[in-house]
Amino acid sequence: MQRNPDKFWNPYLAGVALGLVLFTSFLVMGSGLGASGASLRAGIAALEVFAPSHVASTPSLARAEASPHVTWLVFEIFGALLGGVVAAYTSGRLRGEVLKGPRIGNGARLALALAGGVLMGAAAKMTRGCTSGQALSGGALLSVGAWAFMFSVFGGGYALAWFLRREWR
Amino acid sequence: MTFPILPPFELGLVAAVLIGFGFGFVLERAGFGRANKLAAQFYGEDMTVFKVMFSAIVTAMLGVVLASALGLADFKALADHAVSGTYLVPMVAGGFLLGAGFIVSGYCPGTSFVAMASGKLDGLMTVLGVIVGQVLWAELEWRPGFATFHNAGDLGNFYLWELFHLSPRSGPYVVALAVTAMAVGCFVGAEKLERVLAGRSHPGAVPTPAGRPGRFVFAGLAVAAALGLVGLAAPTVAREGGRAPTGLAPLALARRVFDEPWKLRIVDLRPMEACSAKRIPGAECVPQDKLGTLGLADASPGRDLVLVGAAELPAMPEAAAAYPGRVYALEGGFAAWEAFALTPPAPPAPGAPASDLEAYRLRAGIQAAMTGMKAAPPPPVPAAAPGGPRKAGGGGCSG
Amino acid sequence: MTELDLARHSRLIDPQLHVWGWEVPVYLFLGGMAAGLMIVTSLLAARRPERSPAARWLAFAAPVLVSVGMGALFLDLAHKLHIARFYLALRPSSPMSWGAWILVAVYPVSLLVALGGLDEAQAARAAALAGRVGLGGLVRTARAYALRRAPALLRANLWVGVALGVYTGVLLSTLGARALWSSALLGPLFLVSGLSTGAAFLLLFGLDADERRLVARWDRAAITVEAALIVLFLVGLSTGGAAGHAAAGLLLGGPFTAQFFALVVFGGLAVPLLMETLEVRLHLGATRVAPALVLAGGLALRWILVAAGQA
Repeated sequence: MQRNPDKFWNPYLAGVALGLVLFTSFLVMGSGLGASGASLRAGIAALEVFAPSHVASTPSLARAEASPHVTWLVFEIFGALLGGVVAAYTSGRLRGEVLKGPRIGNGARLALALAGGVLMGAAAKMTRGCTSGQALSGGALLSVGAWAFMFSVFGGGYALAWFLRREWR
Repeated sequence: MTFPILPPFELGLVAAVLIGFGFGFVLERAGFGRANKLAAQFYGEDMTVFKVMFSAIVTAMLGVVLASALGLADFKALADHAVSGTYLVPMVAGGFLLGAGFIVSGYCPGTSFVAMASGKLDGLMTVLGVIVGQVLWAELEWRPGFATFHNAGDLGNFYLWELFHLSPRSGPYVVALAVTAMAVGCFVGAEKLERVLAGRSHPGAVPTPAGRPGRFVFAGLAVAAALGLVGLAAPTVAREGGRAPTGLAPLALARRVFDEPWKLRIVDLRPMEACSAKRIPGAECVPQDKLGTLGLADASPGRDLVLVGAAELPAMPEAAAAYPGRVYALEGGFAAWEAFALTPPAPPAPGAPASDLEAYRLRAGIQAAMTGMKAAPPPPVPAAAPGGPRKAGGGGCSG
Repeated sequence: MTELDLARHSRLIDPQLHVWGWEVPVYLFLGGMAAGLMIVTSLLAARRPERSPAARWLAFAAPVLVSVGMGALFLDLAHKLHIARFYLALRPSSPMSWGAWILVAVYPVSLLVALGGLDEAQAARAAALAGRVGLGGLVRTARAYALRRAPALLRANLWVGVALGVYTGVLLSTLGARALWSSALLGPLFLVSGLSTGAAFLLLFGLDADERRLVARWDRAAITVEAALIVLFLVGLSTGGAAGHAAAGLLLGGPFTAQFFALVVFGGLAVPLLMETLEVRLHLGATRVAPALVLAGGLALRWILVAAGQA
């Protein structure tokens, strides 16, 4: 049976489901979801291979390496990868491809994805959490910083959207 | 406060995989594994990102609010545990930067993992980029010039109800209701906007109307928010009860003092002289009016806090209520402890049942250990009375 | 300056407790996978005389995987030249000795079965390939022999595969001083795990639809049995004395819990089983992700057991 890869859950029901996952995390762990911490730990693991003493001598890296919450995020993201695979497989979206607008080539799209990733990585370290850890988890607990961050994210996105229309439209 | 559960580290990691599985599954099914759908948010005609994110935030927020209203959790304590402090300058600047990265890459850090899991090469590139970016800023953030920026606008743990000068007791509930109302209003507006723009929309865009399930969600969120307010208006007994310390019997405390003292933090609230004369081993002497100076709100929740009053504690002291871990109160206070652990128990009458004897031995042992005195050994147990008629005769061969 | 070493980080003062690194788990994984491949090849040949070209060629993977695994093991040996001594004696009480002889049996049996399983065109290509190194005649003779004795060879292949799979587990479980390994269930556990990784390895390649269905069904069965054996293994350990209890604790709350449950139980068993079951139930297209997860889980199982046993 062919599945329609453009069919998604109703956004509000998906939101409630996501909220319940977040709520479970609050109740069980006393902390929210996150993602960028796991990326940082991956980077630290790579650095450990090439320059083992460097991590220990950089306070921010050493702190992240020792943090139990960051370890927790690594396992959470491992689970998210598994959940993503199962969800994509059962909805017909599990296939190797490059997603982009019709007017841009694959190479340019991949380069932009990498560049955007670097921007977001630096930004998420600055804001002590990304859209998952800060906006979602902090927003639900009414932190002022999280709400300011969330509005800034939407602001930044809308501000640049016009310049990047060739990538998506 | 029953929640959060705070399981041991390794079990928490196992829970992390399960929670993460749900996280990844929902993100993918919402369409967050597809860059086009995420980017469409910023071109107006598909508001999925906004709808999913805000309904998730409102759902989780109302869940915590309702749990607090029922006394199962404490909104402020949970928030202090879960949320990083507010650093206004880097958060606003970083937010703009992250938004820019979002529209350039088409993902946010979390959704890029899901996109990678579903085979999207651009998702993989974004994941790699985020790793590089994280390490880059981690290299810079503590260096002199950058550190001032990285820590600028430090407001500590700062919440919306504090921003609007609401009382810490009712604030979370009022703000939660306001946020819910605002979110539902925005949802209705987003639906309108999508319909207006649908006419000249991009052919690839797939708007996602609320439909009937959406309206149920709106109603459900509104009801939950109202319930949260009712919980606030209801007599505060439930809330007090929620944060009331759990009772701990002297025997249970004695066992824990012996078995796992490293998991306890015993605070003796009696006046200093009484406490310094006699106290439970390992107890800190902190008179009740000085409890605030301990900074219990910021203490690590790893150890269980045990409060010891002169007698039964009438109510949870304000400062102890902020402790993020479990809080116990010794039942009957120090008086009960003295009667239980520091007074030699009365020896059981001869011929008392074995269970009494056992209880006596235990108490005598506790008393001996706590006072450093050995009581006289219990009287010898009389040999068990012969049961039924015994077979006559002896020796091995008579049977 | 080891004589002046007071911090006790010297190998000369404290005996090394952690002596097996990456080589042994990789060897056990590849050996188990080869064993599983031999069993699946025999079963598949018995069930379906007509097989797809990929399935025929893949019978050669078993000896290749065993060779790679032995290469890893060879790196681990301290005295590489002493390997000859394994073959100078058969000591019935030593699983290492048994293993050495089982490995000797693996090569002729699996190669003959693979040759006999080729169809005419493939056999001609194989002979031509071997002919370049002057072995064309040998290949043709061997194939003629394999075709004559096909049923017996398939049976032998099956049983040598079972022996190899059990041996990879018994190798650990005879080292009784390590509480985690002193379980009789380790042999069967590694056998079914090898069976499921062998089946998963086949699923990575272009089998035809019928073969795929059969192999995937065996894979699901093996995963289910493996999950049950893991439960029994842990229950048996935790109820069998203090040392076993402590060993099981390593995986049930101790330092290896998270890796074990994340990589082996969820990633290596539950999720691929779920995906393969949904593939049948929802009539989804085939995917290589589920078999890849099974392979990763099989490697993680051996890695974690070897590491935790030495902790």
